[in-house]
Amino acid sequence: MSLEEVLSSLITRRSLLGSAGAGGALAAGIAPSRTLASALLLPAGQTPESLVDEIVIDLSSEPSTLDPALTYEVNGWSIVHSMYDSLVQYAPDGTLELLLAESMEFVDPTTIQIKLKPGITFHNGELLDSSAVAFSLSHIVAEETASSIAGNFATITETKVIDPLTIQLLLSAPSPWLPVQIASWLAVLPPVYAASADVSQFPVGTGPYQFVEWNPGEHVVLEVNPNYFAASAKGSPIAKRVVFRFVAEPATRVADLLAGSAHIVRGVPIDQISAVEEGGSAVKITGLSGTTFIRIPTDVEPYSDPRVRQALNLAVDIPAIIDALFAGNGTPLANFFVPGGLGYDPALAPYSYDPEKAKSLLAEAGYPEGFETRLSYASLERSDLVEAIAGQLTEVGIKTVAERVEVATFNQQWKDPEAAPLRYVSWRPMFYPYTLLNLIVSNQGFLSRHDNPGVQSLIDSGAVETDPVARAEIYNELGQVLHDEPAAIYLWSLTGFFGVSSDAPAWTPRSDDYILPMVRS
Amino acid sequence: MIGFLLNKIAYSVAVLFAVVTAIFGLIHLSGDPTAGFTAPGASPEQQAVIREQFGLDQPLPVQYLTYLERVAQGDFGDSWRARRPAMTAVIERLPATVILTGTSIALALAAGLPLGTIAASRPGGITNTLASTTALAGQAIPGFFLGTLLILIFAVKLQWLPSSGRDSWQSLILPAIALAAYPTAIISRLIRSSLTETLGQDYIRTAQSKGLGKRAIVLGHALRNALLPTLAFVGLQIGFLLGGAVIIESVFAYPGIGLLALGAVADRDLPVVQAVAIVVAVAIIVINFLVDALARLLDPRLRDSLGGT
Amino acid sequence: MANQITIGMGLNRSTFAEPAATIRMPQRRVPRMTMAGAFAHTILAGLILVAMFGPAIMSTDPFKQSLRNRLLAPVFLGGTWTHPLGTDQLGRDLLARLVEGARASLIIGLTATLIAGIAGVSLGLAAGYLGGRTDRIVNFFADVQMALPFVVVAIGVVAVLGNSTRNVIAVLAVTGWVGYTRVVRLQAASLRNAMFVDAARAAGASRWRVMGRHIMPNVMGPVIVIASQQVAGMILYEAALSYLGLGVSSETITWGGMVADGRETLLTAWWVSILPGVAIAVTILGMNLYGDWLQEGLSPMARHR
Repeated sequence: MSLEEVLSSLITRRSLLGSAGAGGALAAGIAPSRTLASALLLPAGQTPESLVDEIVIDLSSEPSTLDPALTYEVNGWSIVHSMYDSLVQYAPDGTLELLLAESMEFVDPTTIQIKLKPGITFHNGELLDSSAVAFSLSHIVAEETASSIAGNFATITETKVIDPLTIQLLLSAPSPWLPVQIASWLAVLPPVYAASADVSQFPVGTGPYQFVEWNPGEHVVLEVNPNYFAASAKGSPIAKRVVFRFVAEPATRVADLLAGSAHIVRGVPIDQISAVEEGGSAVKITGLSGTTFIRIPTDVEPYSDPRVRQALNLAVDIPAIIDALFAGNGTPLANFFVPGGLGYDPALAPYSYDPEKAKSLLAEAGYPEGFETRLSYASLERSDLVEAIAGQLTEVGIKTVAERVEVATFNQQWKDPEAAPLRYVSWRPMFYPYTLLNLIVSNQGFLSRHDNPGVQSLIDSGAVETDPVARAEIYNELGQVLHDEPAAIYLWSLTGFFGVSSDAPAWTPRSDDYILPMVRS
Repeated sequence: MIGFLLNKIAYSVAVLFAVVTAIFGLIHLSGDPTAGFTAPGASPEQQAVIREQFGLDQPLPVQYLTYLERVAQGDFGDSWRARRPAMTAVIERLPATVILTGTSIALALAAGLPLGTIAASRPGGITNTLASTTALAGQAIPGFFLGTLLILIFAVKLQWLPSSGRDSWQSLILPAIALAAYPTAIISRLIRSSLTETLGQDYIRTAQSKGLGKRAIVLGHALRNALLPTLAFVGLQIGFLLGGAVIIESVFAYPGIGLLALGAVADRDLPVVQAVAIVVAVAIIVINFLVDALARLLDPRLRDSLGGT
Repeated sequence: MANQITIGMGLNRSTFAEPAATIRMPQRRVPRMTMAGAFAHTILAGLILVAMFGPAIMSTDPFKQSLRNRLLAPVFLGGTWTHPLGTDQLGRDLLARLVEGARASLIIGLTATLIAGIAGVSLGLAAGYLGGRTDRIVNFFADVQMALPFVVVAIGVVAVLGNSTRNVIAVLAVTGWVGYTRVVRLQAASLRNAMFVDAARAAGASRWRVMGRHIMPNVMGPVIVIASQQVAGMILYEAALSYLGLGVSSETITWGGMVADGRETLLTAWWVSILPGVAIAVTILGMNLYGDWLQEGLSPMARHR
């Protein structure tokens, strides 16, 4: 099911879910989900007693806070989404599934109505109701929270509590992409508790695990929530106790796996996959929703010429890089859109590797000898990938120097004309590309050095189009234009390499790259 | 005496002041700190709100003076990234670093003293060469390399010790060994050089003539001479290690203030960086003071020739 | 010209005490060659030759990537002579990179040491000889320097100014000058009232001339020993910076950078990291032996053996 279909079904599902009614606490909680997908039921026999006692998960960095409003990276989200739920979440194929919401629908293009599942409680016993949703939203946008993700909810002008289980969000403009933002950014907090407690240190949510302790630098410990609502779309918990540890060095994470200190680790380097397997563990390779590209500005020569941008795309041998440096995993991309995400067109072929054509295009554009350029990348990215690309570009005459830049500095340099024009960027999630288009491709985007009128009108109309069929058409057209007049060197879709020890319980990796100690059957 | 102490304290405050200023300058020189601790997709409006919250929209001199004013009252501010008191974050992680530092220095002394003594006692012999080579090895291997090797051998292959973290006292061993390699090498060279030098001096001959056994001479007199430079070096090394054995902490995921500082600088989280710098600077000043005092105690001649501080 | 005063690593007993009676008029002394000394000279000469002429002799391009030939083993592990020491994670020839890396690593080490040395010795001379306020100011800056966490300074400088070789050398030099200053200051202070200095002053020499002509040659002993150690230390520091991502840009090949880059393949292709590590270790061995030889040779004990 594509995202458009799910969203459209959400809009029209009113009648189906309405009939289940809100009567009967648990039964009503289960029934609508059962109609959504019977596979989401708790598998028989997975009672809390059969869970393993403890598992250890190695994350690659430590979050500075557990407040969802201040969390914006994948390691923080892994812990936060183990303790909190949002109204909806991503299924492995990128579709949105209902989580805390029984229904979420656009009453009209500027009003979203959310009905909550009844009978869900927070870890401290507070009941989940619409005031909690309202509170969670206001917590994010509140000035004293100083959250940097508040902008994602900028079009919400008012939250209207209709009844304890129904809430409406009033929008300033049509925002069909809002449910996707809600899935990523809106974790639901308990208002009564949060009013007097420090949620960044002592989180309480509705999630499958509850907070036990946080030793800064060492670990975060969670224990299973025995009252977690059955048939949650997240799956079922896999351990009674979960210890999240923070290990920045990939070799050490692999060592932890092999030494038996960790059950699940993120980010196994591809050259250590064989060592992991020989050591008795396994590497779960998962396609992630995300794209990697090299931003090309259009406001400066020689990049203003589309032929140069095409040449750049033709100069990179993506299949060879995927083969050698990703152990063969990942999909070459024709534009920003990724498999499983809105706008992806499998029929549109990515640029092939054609260095001769690249050179001739460069000559046509007036650069027979090529030119010099700089390619910057953030220190978190793999340098071997960037150096491989820089080497390939140099071979067609575009003498490229790869610059490794510290993350904070890198993030400041998007619009800096003195900084490297080419920027290597990994962007996720890409289930709905609105944010990327808005920030980087739109000529209004505050990270953007791209301007293409043909692209601009499509972005603008796509952002407010509520009819899924029409929207799909717009995005397909957009994808074509972005391919023919590239805004970037389009590279590949992301892949996750998770190490799993032999004594780890069954676990399901997620395409949004959060590590949640859950298993989906 | 009081005058001397007051002088010392005034001087130390001046040093701290300079440290705080240097760090303020460094962090702000690298551009707007906001980009370090906010989401990459944050809108300019959002960043403006955050900047205002933390006073980053004020002119730099105002920010600087405000910070100094607050520090004088004991308020070290809140971490911009974590929104909790910066000094608390440092104090939490300090014990881990102190323990690691102490253990590795202890190991270095325990290994370096005998190594250096052996190396000095019979110049040209095999034991001498072996001891020298071991010491050199400790000096020549990059820290992260040694750390990774230790993990591979002792945690993965042999499974004797934990590979990372700080769950038990055993987690201390491998990082401490990795950190002790370099100081062991230096201490053994210091001992050896000092011993080789003193072994020919006049008063050693005097001691010999008094009929003491050779071993007693070596240990008794010569080592005492070696104490001074060793003490000076150990003082320096403790200061360095307290400043954050960043690389070893990173390899072993050992939660000390090194990793805290590394993360805070990457996040441009100035309050935390300042808090770390202040704590480390105070520790180094105290240690220098102790080393100086010990040195004067050990060698009265120094009281005259060491001028200034 | 070398003096008869006892020198050590710069930190031994005599640097703290006044060697009153043992000072004599300087005379030239070249240390006697020993086995270890010869070994040291061989290593260093070899390194310098490789650094200077190696890249010209090598026919393989150290930057040439070949994704199909990643992580090839060296000949002694079953590889072919096309790549005698194997290839790295992008298929680049390791031998060529080691040879090319010698140049950058040694240059960085030597330059940083030189800058640190010049700055440190000058400041130490001024502080020790002139005393008073100059001494206090220099000491103050030394104390501030020692109190600043290295990581903060390194990241700050590199983040602001970028990953160029020049900036990395600057960071390294900034961390290294204090050692010289401390030692030279003590030596200069103790020589302030020596007879030959008095003589020079009586003859009308200016402060600068006294410092430069008379005092400095007599403090160079420990300085050279420290310097010989520090070159190696700088190479290690550069490796540490590379590990933290603050090393030189990938245009410049350094051994430290190679060790840092290769750490992800330690389990499967260990030669990528270990071979440059061996190169570093050999360099440090050579430097240390050289420094030892100098120290032993210049000490008055040498005359008794």
